[in-house]
Amino acid sequence: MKSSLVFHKVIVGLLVIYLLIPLVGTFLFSMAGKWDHTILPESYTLKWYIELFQDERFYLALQHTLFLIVVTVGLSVVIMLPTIFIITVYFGKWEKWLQAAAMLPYGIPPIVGAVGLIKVYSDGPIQIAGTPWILVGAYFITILPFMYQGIRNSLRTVNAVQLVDAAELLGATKFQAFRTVVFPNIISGILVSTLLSVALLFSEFAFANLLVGGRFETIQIYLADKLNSSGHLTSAIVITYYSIILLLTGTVLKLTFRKEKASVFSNKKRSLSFLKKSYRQKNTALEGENS
Amino acid sequence: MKVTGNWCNVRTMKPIPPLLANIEEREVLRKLKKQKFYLLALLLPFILFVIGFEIGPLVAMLKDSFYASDGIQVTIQQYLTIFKSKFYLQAIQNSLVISLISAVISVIIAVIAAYSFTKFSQKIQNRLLMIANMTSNFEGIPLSFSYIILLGNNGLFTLLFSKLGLDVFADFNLYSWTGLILVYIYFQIPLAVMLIYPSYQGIKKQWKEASSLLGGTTLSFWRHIGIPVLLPSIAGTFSILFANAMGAYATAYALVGSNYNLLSLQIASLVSSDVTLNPQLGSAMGVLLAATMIGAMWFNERMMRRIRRDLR
Amino acid sequence: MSYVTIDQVTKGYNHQVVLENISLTLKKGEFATLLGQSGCGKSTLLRSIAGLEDVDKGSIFIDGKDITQLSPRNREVGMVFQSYALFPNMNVFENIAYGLKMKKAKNIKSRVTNMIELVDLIGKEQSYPHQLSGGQQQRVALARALVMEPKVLLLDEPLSALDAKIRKNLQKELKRIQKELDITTIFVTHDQEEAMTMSDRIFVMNKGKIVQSGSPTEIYTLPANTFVAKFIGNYNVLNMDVFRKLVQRTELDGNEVAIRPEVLQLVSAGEDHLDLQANWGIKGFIKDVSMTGNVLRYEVETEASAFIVDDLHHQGKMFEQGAQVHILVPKKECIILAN
Repeated sequence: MKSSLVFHKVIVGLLVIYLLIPLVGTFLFSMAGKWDHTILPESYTLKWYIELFQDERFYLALQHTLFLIVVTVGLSVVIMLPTIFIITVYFGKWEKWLQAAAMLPYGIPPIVGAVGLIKVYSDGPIQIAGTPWILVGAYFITILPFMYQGIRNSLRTVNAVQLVDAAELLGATKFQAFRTVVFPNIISGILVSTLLSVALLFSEFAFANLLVGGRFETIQIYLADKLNSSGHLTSAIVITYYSIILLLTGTVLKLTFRKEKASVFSNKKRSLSFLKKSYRQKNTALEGENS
Repeated sequence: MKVTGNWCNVRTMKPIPPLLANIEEREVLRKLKKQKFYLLALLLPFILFVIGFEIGPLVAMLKDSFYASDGIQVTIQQYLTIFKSKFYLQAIQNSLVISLISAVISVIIAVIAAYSFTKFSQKIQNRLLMIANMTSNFEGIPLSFSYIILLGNNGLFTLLFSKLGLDVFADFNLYSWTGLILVYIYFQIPLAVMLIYPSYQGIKKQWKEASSLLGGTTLSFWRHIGIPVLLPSIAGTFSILFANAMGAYATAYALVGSNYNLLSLQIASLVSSDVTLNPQLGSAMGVLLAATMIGAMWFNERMMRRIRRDLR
Repeated sequence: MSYVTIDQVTKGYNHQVVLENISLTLKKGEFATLLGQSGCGKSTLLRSIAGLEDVDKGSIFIDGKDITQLSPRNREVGMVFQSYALFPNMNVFENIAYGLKMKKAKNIKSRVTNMIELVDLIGKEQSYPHQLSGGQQQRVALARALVMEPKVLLLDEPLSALDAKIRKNLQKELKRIQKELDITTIFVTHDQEEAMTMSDRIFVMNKGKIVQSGSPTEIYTLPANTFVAKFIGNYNVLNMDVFRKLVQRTELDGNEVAIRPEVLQLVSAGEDHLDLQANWGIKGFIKDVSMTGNVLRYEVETEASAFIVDDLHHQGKMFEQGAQVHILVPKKECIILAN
């Protein structure tokens, strides 16, 4: 048994290297000066990043992306929280339908969704094709499974229905119960879904390309454009927005956990348990019901 | 409103003489109705979004697929076109083959890798899952581009292989369907690992012990007990990977361009390109793709149900 | 001629001693029980015999063969786990047949069918584990181990997860099957009642050591030390100084005295025809009465100690709380413990 641990170490080691190499390669390329015929770059430079940060178009694209993310995620939280709560507590019979509607986007790749969206919004009464608003709608549906899973799992974990019942017996109305007893306890679960959605939307290309294209250039569209002209710049863009996502995740984590009372967890453990939550969530989302 | 039966005052819980029941009862019902109406109103935004951006487009696509390219005649012409066209059949075949092969390879690697994960301490397992989680997001343009850096014509590994004299690998063409499979495998492995890993928790140590006491070896355990128990999970994961690959667009777009003969790319050009615009045909193809996806999801759901039943 | 010999087996784990110099021998066909609380090492010892755990020192012999270094699959032992460990993807028949398949045995069908009959599961051959009750699953596990005709059958708290009534039934079944097949059996449990019902011999374990071994009657009526006395039954264990004071006899020696609650007799304080030849008398009053179905349990407070006195629940005869009584302590039944 002990010798075979080496075997497993090798497998896992190879896997990790395999997974990290493309990232490392991209990073190197973003810092490379001359790198045409040699295995590693001949020289290193920051000029690509400098070029990137001086590009007005980059900032505009970033602005557009952030706008879409903030609006979509914000809208999603504001709409999904009451919706899931109301259905769970008042209309339990409809939960199956809610779940079906929320999990359906998994079965509809963006390319398929785009076909229908273009049809409906190009020459109908609501002509929002080509505007950012159609993207907001499409993105809302894209992150729906994650937001639904996150909120619903949080409600289940804290046993929301029982909490509301207990609060009601003590004199609160259902909405008071939600506001004071349920909501504060599910914030961390919502946060996980939110951060997952942010990362997802940053990387979303299909809808952006097919529904609006250059008319409302997001980071990914900008990226696709630069793909054919400057590879180095492309890598710099990728590393940049990945860093933004990492930074965002990190700061949000730090902020939330600072608010909580002094716990035994260290920072590392907190981020690990957080990522475990997001892993579990992705898992249950894809595996369907798992209670 | 006529009232029959006994009513009681909701506040005091005392029975109401029938004469007053009419007024009290109407008030209570009105309150309840108002509450329900208010609640339903709160559900409205969600319903609107679902209809507007999820169900509506799907229905529109389905409807449109039964129209001729002039947009007026109702016909199944579009589907016939697809099945009579060598070009489009090739696109479907390409997508199917690439998705199947990449899914199979990814699942096999993931089954082995996930098992190796379980041999380490909990702390290390968490770290590994973290890495899998992170890299499963590295899809689309960045992924394809990173592979161009590594395995393109001037790629890091391409040069390395030619320097080492491994011309077989050096001549590898990334911009082909084998290249696509390779890139697809990259983003499918972490996803597969994350999906399969939990099912290893269901393999009880005592089954292994019982098996060995009954004369079984490690191999016979996995062959007769381990793999069969894992099989529904593996099958479900496979179908998800397959569906995922069928629908992939950005990765292919960035690697082989929008004209490559892949189902998702062809649909895209049919609905958005100026040259080959034919939204009805695109709808028909979209319907076929959606049917494949939904079929795969349904299969996965069946497999999941089987696991829950078998393992209590 | 001993069939199973365990010779000075020692095992440590994380700098803690789990088994300390364990030695015991069993005859063929004997039903032995390892009895003790959680953590005493009984399961570890069982698993060591099965080969699922290594030992640091010592040897294990079965039928004359040294099996200490053999892997589990070569030891010819069968084991029944507490959680049954049935293979979920196989039905009852396939589960039982598994070992025979591994051995590439002949007559698999008839052997399995006989075993299914023996454990009384006819009609369930095609059922899957999740369709069976706990008791049925345990019988499948038993059949699966027995069909291999092992030299020794090991049972690791197999009945702990079952309801009381089913447990009682299975205890009887197990004993019947064991006698019928005449198979040497080692049974692990923390339930002393179970141990005493089923065993030919009991090994009481504590902190990795065997503290007493013997027949159920011996263990119950002649505990060798304080631990066994306190663990088995509901012995009254008193410090000798206290006891001497209570019975006003200073010449008694030993460290402690153990008395079974059911040998003590209660008489009202008023009674005077007491047999003080055979008994000592201790004055006290009833502090508490409880009933466990067929037994009335009295907690009697005396001037220096409390006593538990058990009496079968006869109709009519019952002392009330607060009643003044005399406890009659039969001199013969006092067990002196030297520790």
